[in-house]
Amino acid sequence: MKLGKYRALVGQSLRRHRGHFMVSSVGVIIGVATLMLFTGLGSGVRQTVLEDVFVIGQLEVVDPAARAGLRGGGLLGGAGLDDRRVEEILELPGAAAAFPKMKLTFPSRASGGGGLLGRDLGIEFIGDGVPPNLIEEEVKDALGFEDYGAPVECSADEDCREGLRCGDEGICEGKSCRPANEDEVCGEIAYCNRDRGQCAYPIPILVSPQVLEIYNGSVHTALRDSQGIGGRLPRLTEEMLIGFEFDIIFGESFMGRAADRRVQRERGRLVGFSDRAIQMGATMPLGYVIRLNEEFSGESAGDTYHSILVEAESNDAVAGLAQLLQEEMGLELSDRHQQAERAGLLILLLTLLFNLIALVILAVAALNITHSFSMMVMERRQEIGLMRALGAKRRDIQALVVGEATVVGLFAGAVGIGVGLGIAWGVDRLFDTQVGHFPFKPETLFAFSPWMFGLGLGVAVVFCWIGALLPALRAGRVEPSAALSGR
Amino acid sequence: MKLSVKGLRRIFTHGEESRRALVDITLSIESGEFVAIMGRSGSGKTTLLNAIGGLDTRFEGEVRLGEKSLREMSEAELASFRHRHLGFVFQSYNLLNHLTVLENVLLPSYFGPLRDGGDPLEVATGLLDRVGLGDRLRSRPTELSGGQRQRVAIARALLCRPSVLLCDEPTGSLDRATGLTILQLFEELNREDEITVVLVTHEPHVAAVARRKIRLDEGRIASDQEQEPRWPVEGEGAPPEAEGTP
Ligand SMILES: Nc1ncnc2c1ncn2[C@@H]1O[C@H](COP(=O)(O)OP(=O)(O)OP(=O)(O)O)[C@@H](O)[C@H]1O
Ligand SMILES: [Mg+2]
Repeated sequence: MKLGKYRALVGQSLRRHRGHFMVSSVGVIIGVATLMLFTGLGSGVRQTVLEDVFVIGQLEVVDPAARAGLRGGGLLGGAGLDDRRVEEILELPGAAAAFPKMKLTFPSRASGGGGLLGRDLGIEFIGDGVPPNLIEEEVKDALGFEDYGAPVECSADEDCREGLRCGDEGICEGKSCRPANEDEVCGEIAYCNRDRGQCAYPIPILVSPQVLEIYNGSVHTALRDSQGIGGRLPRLTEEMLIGFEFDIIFGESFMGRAADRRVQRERGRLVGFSDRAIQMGATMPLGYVIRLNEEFSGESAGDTYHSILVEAESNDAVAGLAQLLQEEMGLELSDRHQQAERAGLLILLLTLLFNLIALVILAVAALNITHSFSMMVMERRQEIGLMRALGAKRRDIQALVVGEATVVGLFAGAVGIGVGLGIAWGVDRLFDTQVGHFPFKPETLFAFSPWMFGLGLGVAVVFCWIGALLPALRAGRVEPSAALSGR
Repeated sequence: MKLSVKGLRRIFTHGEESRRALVDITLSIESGEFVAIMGRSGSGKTTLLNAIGGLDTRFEGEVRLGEKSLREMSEAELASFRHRHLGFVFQSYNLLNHLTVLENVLLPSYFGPLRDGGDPLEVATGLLDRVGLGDRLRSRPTELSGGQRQRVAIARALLCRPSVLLCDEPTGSLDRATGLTILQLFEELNREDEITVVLVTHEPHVAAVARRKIRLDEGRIASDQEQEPRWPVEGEGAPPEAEGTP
């Protein structure tokens, strides 16, 4: 049978049995809609959890020796995390970037927020540093993400930044100032540091978007109705916070003080949000951390990194990269990676479980198709017998039934996808309006990609074929003589 | 194309019961013959025709169409053989009511090309013209009279230029005068197009127009004789000149 003729014949039959085919397709529509919904949901949740909560594309490498408390690593031949290690990691296949990180190794606290919250709050300050040149694109404040504290050589005042002058040792230092003449002496960006009586530049601070998410999602939501300061806490956005300044008191915290009881008060300025920033804390240019650690914890405290943040080229490259880092380089990954893997697996299992429901619906739909197609074949016995008498082969008749099933499948698949998307849209609206804010609450629960539409159509057609298989065989077995005599 | 049947038996079994519909039939029909098969109801006429046409192959014995033995052909070969060489006309027309007249006539062309490679649409309209329905191409079968429907069925049977036309009670549902015009069409096809016509009927006046009459009785050939075609004299049913629509 020629393709054109075949299509015409299938078309005729479909037009004639429109009602039958509609009824047959209902189950498949429901099944495909369910499949779409759960696949989209699984993928959406996965995206939120793995990309926003766990940032799956990143791996944090820690030095096993350092972790076990064996600092220095002299016996092991200096296996610490240094610039050479960073270079080696960058050579690994699948690694897109590597950021060495160093933590502040002495207690500090921060205080401020009066402008935003109504009254100053004080918190423990947990900080780390990363090389500033790697972060630039995420910085949204005019201050930039630069190490203003690095020594700059000079021969005249003009060689130094605004608010600084050339000191006796040929290095730029802050001009003398008083709070009263801050603006005249220190210029627009620098401020007058009261303790030193000198102009100084704020320390640029990057914060992880998760900090904001958790503040808005839990702290703010939980305290919203409470009495006192908590009840007046506003919801915060990134835009509101960029440029926010606060005091950092290095060497002193609520927990304790640095060994020599010295304290250094500096100003910090929030310049941006980055996934590369420390999870619960503040990230500043590496130079500050090195200098502060040397000052507060001793000379060697600025020598080795505490961890290296490795970014994979794609989410698919993460697993391979993790293996190389652990097995080839003998490094250890932070717990976050394991948690992410576990969460990913759990989501996958749940998605599969829910999709099992969709498959059960589709299986019932296939049975329904078997039933209604069988009825149709019975009704059309005489017609089939006639076609056989006129030269149709068994195969032609079977192909006709399979062709009808294919069209029903494509139709039901397309409608099912539409219904699934429609329900997803509705659920998202409800979720948006009826469910309060929580950390990492996504804008949509679903993530649909083109392959899912292909899957929906494919699954619909396959189940229609399965359903039509027996009726097609039965149609092929119709005896022309018996059918034509009405027996 | 010569048809030959040798030692043909057909037994229908339903559970315990079995019925011998055909018992040892041997006959041959030469190319271009006009044969009537007669017999009482249940004598095996349809069963014989189905065996000759390959619509039913569960028989014993041998049926040869030209060089080919039906039993040696595969299901697909048999289907395409039917398509190319055989035309069927049934008592109940077997038209598909959801298709137009033209589409009904075109139906065989879905299952293979025409034997001489012609354009199906052209051949179909030509045939419908010839059977006097050139102006009803777009009608549905339900809008036609019985005689007109049977003409459509005949046009359909002729689409692939068959060498043999197998007709099972083609006039059985028609009144005498209408039936006569159908018979005249067969006579013309037999004479002008040299198509072998095998016509099953239980009506003597129908069988009378054939040049050979085979009588079946209880699945056996009771008689097989040549005869002078005799057309009814009553009414305007005058012999061979074919007429238009009734
Ligand atoms: N499919 C079948 N199953 C069982 N018995 C059958 C079948 N087909 C035919 N028969 C039997 O075979 C015998 C011959 O039937 P057939 O249809 O050939 O008769 P016929 O001569 O065509 O009769 P009619 O003039 O009524 O059409 C009958 O007794 C009939 O009951
Ligand atoms: Mg009969």
